[in-house]
Parts: sequence; structure tokens; C-alpha cells
Amino acid sequence: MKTVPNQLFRIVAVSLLITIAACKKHDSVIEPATKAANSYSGEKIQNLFSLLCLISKTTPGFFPPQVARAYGYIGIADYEAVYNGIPGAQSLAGQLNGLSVTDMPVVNKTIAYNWSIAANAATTEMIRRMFEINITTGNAHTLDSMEQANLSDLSIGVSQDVIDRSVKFGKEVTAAIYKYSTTDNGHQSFLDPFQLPYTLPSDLSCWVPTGAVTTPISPKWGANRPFIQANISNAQPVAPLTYSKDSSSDFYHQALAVYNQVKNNTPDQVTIAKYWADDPFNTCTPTGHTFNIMTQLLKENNATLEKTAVAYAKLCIAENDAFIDCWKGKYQYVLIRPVSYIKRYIDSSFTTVIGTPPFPAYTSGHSCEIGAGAEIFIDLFTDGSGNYNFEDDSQLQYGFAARTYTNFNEMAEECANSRFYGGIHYPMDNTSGLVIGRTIGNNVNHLLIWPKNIK
Amino acid sequence: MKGTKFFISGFIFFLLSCGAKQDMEDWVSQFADLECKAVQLRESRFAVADKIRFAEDTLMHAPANTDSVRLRITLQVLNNEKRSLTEMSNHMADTIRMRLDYLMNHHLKNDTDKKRFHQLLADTLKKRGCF
Repeated sequence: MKTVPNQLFRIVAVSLLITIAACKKHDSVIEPATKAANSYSGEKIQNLFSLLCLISKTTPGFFPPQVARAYGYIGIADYEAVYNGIPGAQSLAGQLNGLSVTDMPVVNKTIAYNWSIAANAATTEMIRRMFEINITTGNAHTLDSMEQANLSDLSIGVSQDVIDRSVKFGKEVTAAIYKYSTTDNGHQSFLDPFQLPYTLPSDLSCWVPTGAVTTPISPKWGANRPFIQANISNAQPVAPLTYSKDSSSDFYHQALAVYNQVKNNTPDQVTIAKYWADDPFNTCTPTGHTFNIMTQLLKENNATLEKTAVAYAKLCIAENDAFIDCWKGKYQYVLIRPVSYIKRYIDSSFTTVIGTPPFPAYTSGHSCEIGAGAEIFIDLFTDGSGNYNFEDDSQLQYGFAARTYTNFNEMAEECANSRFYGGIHYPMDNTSGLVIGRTIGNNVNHLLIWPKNIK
Repeated sequence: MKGTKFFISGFIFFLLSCGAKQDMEDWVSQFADLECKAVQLRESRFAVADKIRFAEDTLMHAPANTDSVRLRITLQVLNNEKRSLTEMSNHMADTIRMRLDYLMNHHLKNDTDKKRFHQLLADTLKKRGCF
């Protein structure tokens, strides 16, 4: 009589154990361990940044400062969606000016995520939010298609739970970063890039219109919140040389140097001026050009998602802050452009090689942004020397031959000098701009905590 | 026997190099067709941009001495030209970028090949009178 219940008990117990074991085995199939970010390719995010260039140049209201800002928040969202998958990485929350740790969603470390899927969701959603109502229908469609194609590709062999959770996390990251962006003073600036009303000072040293645009772009941009406060407090330019029309003055000599340069440019210098001009009607501004170079370098190095996320985040922070700092200086000094001064005091028939953009001269936006960008490239791709052989082929698409460089500093200096060859900046605009940019780039590399030995 | 093996290996290597060389020349030739058009578009963009800024400059600095109505009409025509050029250039830029990405991802995987490609491209464009 006792045998039957014992046997029954054994059968039930064994069945229960088998069921538990089966459940565990089943669980391990649908919930694999989270893979590190360096086990994913960075190519899909790199392609999204290439698309970002197209969107930047075809969305109304996006001038250089607005483009730098958009890239800025997109890169941060991408990094925040990925850093949990990078050993030793920390969130930028608690490090960036005004972004608190409590603002950000947290991952559940006991369950699996796919960082590539999270990055795809975060980055595409942030692009959508940054360009908002001004994005063209065609671009919105391309972005949606790319997001879906990436997701389909990345979802192969991944359980639906992990896909849903990763997409949700990516979108939550974007929601948090977007909320953060709305308080920086640049929110929806594409709707009013001229930030009117603005009263130009009437001093002789001050900027006057150089073309049909009679009000300068984004005069209040310098009041935007930077990602790193030290980029504004410790990186302002020294004052420009004192304005004077006296032909023996240092200021006059700066203008004369521009005049003589334009009159005696070599064909190669004219090419350089146009190459870096980021071209009439057709490029995604200097920031976009620098990002295109970054994308090319990441592709050439077969960068993983880990390195791609860190690289873009660094460059995004640097470019955004470089434009804020540069614009702050521009509207503090409101310095007259060389073309206006030269026509007034040296040669009334003077013309520049390329068009003069509608904002004050000091300091040069190109020099600020490329100085910052070069420091990021040096940190990511060299031993600190800046030595790196590469051909910038990002302008082939616009009908320029690729240019060869052996050092990132050499590239930055060529970009800065291009504004002098073009006749649109005094030498001091470029030298001070490079100093500012380099300081900002260094701040990004050293004042924030970044993961080491990334691949 | 050893000599035969050496000869056959050398011959195969020669055939492969010829194939690679031929491939590179084909890629460059096809790419040069696109790039030459892109160069022409770039020159047109700069030319129109110059005309626009000179017309605007004239209007701004000497409105009383110029035929401002005529200049405004000219500007309108130039701005239409600018729009059409921008559209064509954007389309061309997309085509070139996709083609270049394909070549870089599938064929030009090392620095030597990339350098050779860019050098051959520059030579071809020069030979065709595109620059």
C-alpha cells in the first residue's frame, strides 16, 4: 500500500525536475547573455551618420550652429544607448552640464539587451526629434526605411523579448536626451535661425552685411548651454587686435595680408579654399564634413559599435561646444569681415574667392570646429602625435578630388588657412579659432570619463 | 619538375595580377564617368554662387546707379538655376557616395588599393579634361 504513493511521488518529483530543467534550458535560449558592444559592427550607426549629412543639408533652417547642435544630441543619445555594453564605460549623465543621472533610464542588469538594436532605435529617433517638423517627407521616409532595414537585419537570431526591450530602452534614452536638449536655449532654433530681434552695434569696427542677408545668423547662440561648462569658461578667445584704419596699424596689416593673399593665391590654394568652403548650396556644413571624415576613418578601421559610439559622442560634444564658444566670441566682438574693411580702406573693387557667410569674423567657425575635431581624431586614431596617413574622400561626392594628409594637425591647419586663402577671414581669426577648438577637443578627451582600449 | 611548378605558379600569379589590374581600371573608368559630371556640377555651383553674390553686392552698394529691376530679375533666374543645380548635385552626391561605399567595402580594402584608386582616378579625370 505504501509502494504506490512512493512511486507516484517519485514520478511527480522527476517530472517536476525535468520541467524545471526544460524551463531553464528554454529560458537560456530566449534570454542569452548580453553581448558586449564590441561584438557588434559599427557600420549601421556609421551609415546613419552618413544619412544625417544628407538630412542636414536638405532641411530648412539648419545653418552651421544648428547642424552642430543636432549632431551633438544625436551622438549623445547613441552613446547612452550603448555604454552599458562597454566595459569600464560610464554614462555621460552626471558628467555633462545639466544632465543628471536621475534623468536617464536604467537597464535591468539581470536580463539581456542587444546594444546594436538599442543604438539603432535611439539614433534614428533622435535624428527624427532633432529635425522635427522641418524634416522633408523624402528624408523622413529614408530614415524610417533605414531604421526598419537595420532592425530586421539585427534581429536575426534574437528573441522578440530582447528586441522589444532593446528598442524600448533606446527610445527611452532618446526621450530623456531630447528632454535635456529642450532646455539648452537652442531648442527648435531652426524655426528662427536669425534669432531676431537683434540690434547690430554701429561702431566702425563692427560687422556689416556682406551680401543679401542683412542680419547675422544666430546672434544669441553663445548663450546656449554647453555640454562642458569649462568649454565656455576656460576657452574664450583673447580679444582681437584693436580696430584701426591707420595703414601702419596691426589691424590694417591683417586686412592687407588677406588682400595680398587673394591677389596672389596659387591654383592649389584656390582649390583648398573651395574644398573646405563646404560648398555653395550643397554640403552639410563644416561640422558635417568633419563627421564625414570621422565616418570614413571608422569604416577604414572596421570600428565596432563600441568605438563608433565613443567616437561619435566625443566629436558630437566637441562640435556642439565649439560652435557655442565660437559664436559667443563672434557676438562679443562683432568684428567686421575683411571684405568690408578692404573695400572701405584698401580697394573698393576687391572680391573674395568664395562667398562670405553672414556673421562676424572673429573667430573663424571652421577653425574652431576643425581644431576641436582634430583633437578627437588624434586621441582616437593616433599615439598622440597626430600622425596618420589618410585620404579624405568625403568630398568626392561634391566633385572634389580626394586630399591626402599625413597628420591631423596638418589637416586642421589647412582647413583654417583655407578661410584666409578664400579672403573671408583675417589670419588672427584662424589662429585664435584653432586655439579655442583644440582646447575644447582636449577638454572633451580629458574632462569626461571615457572607456579605455576601445576597438 | 621544380622549374615547371615555379613557371605555373608564376603564370597563375601573372593572370591574377592582370585580372586585378583590369578590375581596378574598370572601376576607375566607371567611377570617373560619375565624378566628371560631379566636377562639372561643382564648377556650375560655384559659378552661379559667384554670380548671385556679385549681383547682390551690386544691388546692396549702388542701388541708385543700377538697373535694380533688371538685377532683381537676374537674381530670380539665378536662384532658380541654383535650386535645379542643388537638386542635381544632391542626386549625384548620393549616387557617388553609394558607389564609393560599395567599392571601399567590397574591393578596395587596403590602403595601397585605395591610394592606387585615387591616383588612377585623378589621372583619368585629368586625361579626360574634367579638371
